[in-house]
Amino acid sequence: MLQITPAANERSLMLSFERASIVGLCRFDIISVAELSARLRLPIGVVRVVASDLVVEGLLEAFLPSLTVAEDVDLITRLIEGVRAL
Amino acid sequence: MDFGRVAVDQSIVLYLFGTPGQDRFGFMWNDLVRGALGAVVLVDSRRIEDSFPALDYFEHRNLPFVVAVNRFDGSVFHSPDAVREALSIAPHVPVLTTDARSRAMVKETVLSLLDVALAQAKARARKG
Repeated sequence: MLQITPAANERSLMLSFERASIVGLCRFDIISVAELSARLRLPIGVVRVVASDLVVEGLLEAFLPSLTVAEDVDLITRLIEGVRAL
Repeated sequence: MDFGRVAVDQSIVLYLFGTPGQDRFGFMWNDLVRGALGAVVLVDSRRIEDSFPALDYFEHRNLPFVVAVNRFDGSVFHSPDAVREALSIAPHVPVLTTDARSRAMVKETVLSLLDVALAQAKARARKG
């Protein structure tokens, strides 16, 4: 999950295309790597690499969930109920 | 690469990523499995052997997966049991029939995968 930092506002005009797009989408809300990949139609591996560069450079801040999805019994149970209802 | 996004409820969005199953697309799989809940290996019943690389990949990973034999024009060329035997799929891996064009059948396939994911998550919770 990613969010823009204050430093990004000043520097975003100088970013290349993918980096500017990613920073742009992170401006309004916390957003996941998967969502960025979907909205920008970029492979998820590319988004991961570019986003982690942006984190290292101080333009984005990363948040990690406390449990990985694979271990989260509650989440998977809710997901099953939600998918059944689709 | 195919991509799908489904809002499951107020707070959960499910993302589905698809790649071709042949060997040469294997480089994409490492990226996609990181953080993934699980995988569906979709078998083309006219070209079963094309699924070997994907099956090999997932059988060596600690990721929930199911095998779904895709139907074409309503007819299945091989039964799930025949596919299981032909592809030497381990007995604990669900093999089911699906139709990738049918919303209801795709939903059932996803639910089968989620059952496997839930069982694995519970097993992990008991250990930890």
